[in-house]
Amino acid sequence: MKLLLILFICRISFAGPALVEALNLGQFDKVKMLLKDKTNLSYTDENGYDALFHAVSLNEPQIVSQLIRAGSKVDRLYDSKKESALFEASRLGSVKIIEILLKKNSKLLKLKNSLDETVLFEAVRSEQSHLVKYYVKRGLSLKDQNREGKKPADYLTPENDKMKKVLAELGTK
Amino acid sequence: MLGRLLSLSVFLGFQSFSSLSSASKLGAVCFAPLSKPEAIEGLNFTERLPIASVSKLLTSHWIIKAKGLDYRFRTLVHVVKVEADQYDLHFQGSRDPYFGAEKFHYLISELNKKGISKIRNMTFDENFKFFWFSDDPEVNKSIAVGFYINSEPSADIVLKQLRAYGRLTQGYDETLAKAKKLNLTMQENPTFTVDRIEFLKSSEFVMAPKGMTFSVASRNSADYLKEMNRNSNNHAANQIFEHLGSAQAYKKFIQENLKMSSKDISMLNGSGDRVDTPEGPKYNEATCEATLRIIMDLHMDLIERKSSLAKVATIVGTNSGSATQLYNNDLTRDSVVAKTGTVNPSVTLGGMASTQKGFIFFMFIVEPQGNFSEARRVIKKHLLELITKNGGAKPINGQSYSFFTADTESFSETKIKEILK
Repeated sequence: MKLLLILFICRISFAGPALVEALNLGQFDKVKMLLKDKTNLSYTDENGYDALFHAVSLNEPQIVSQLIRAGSKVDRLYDSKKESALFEASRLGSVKIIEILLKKNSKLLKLKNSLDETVLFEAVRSEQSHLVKYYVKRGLSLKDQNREGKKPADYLTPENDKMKKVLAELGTK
Repeated sequence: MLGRLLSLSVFLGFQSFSSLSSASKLGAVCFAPLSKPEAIEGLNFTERLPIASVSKLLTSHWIIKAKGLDYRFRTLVHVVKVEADQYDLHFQGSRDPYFGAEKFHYLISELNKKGISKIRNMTFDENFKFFWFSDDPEVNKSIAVGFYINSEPSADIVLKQLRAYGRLTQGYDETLAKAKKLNLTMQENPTFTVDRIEFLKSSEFVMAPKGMTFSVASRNSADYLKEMNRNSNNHAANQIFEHLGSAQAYKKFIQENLKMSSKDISMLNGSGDRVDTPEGPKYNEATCEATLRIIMDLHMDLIERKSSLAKVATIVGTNSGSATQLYNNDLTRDSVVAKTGTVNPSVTLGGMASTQKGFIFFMFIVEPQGNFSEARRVIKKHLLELITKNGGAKPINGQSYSFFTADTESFSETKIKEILK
């Protein structure tokens, strides 16, 4: 009985890290196997990231879908900036993942981080001009200001001609 | 030292290195312009660190230098008739890095065309490294899976796979559809039955005097390297590395070609993935400088062959794969050619950026300390700075492509004389 208890505790302790590690090392067969164990989904690493965040960060839409189907929560906030996984997907420019997340919870779109920024700010900062268009089309505003009183276009990189063009088309800059 | 640090501002700016991220630690960074390749600059670029899957660019460098851009792995298939419509078949392998389900389907199709569909005994030798999932770029299968011991997949593993997929036509329709898209003709409804599958050592194989021998060739090196680097195929990289002679032969090659010693580089396998040794797990290691010099030498060599690094590595945004998945944005799209790497102790990126001031080669090694996403953010930040400090991106002409493990030159009947050459 004691042995079973030890084994059970070990399983809880190590299954989560195993899922995160398998994700980051691209071992997707192992990921699928580990997904059967729900305890993996709630595990967060020392940085506060769960499996869903790692899958988003790796730009793996299929795995993101599988995790959500298995029960991963999409409204978890990460880091000191209190950002949803939508911010991470925006950094990578992944429309596929953004749509998967928004389909599960459309409120994520307007959720601001601790700096009072929407994902539109992140799209500009991460040089993802196609996302700026996408987010504006979905209702986000380029007139929004963050805590410092800055607008998304204030974070334009001067060497990014594509972003300049998109912002000009949208009536900014 | 101060002069070296100040000169960093030419390309990247020393300021950026002082604001390194808290959790992930930038282990090393180095870069050099194509116009002045000897002028390597950076930080901590002489310390040997794990380079992860950037190793695959080094494996690409080795095979290009040793065999050129048109080199094909050739698996010999010896077939002998034993009954009216029944044959024995033996695979004499060559560690073809892409001998998996797709290639097997292609072989079945070609054998069917010759009227061969019923096999009594199917045998294979120790160099036939069949791995069912060695290919499959389209869907999310275990592409990155490899083996942690250089001699794998062992005969036992190959045998288990062949037996597990007893109906070797499993998934044939998928292969056929893919072949059609690439205008490669394959049989519509193949039949292939095998009574018995066994391992047979190469030293024990005796060629039947009245048998036929077919050669099943891989695609040329340019094609399979591009594919291997695109989806970071550990199995393929390890097979190429072993085919060329493994760690000891690499040591000799890199010493002779670029005068590098074990102080600069230690390659244990072709993929950069973990290697399990009797002393425990180990990783390929190289200094940032050595890695950068090899990437530059690969590009220079390809230029001499009227090609470029983009021939064998992923163009971010143009080609699919890990570099595009993780580093695609307005400033890298169509203008960065790179290979990503991730192992527990390192997150890496090596390659070349096309900027308004010319091509700049780079190598980043970050110690993630458990935070892989932040490590990639650190690399992205510095890569973007490198591009903006050099006037912004200058897209290069690249082409998208689709990979199939065989082409019209992959199957031919071979005379014994040719084999013995």
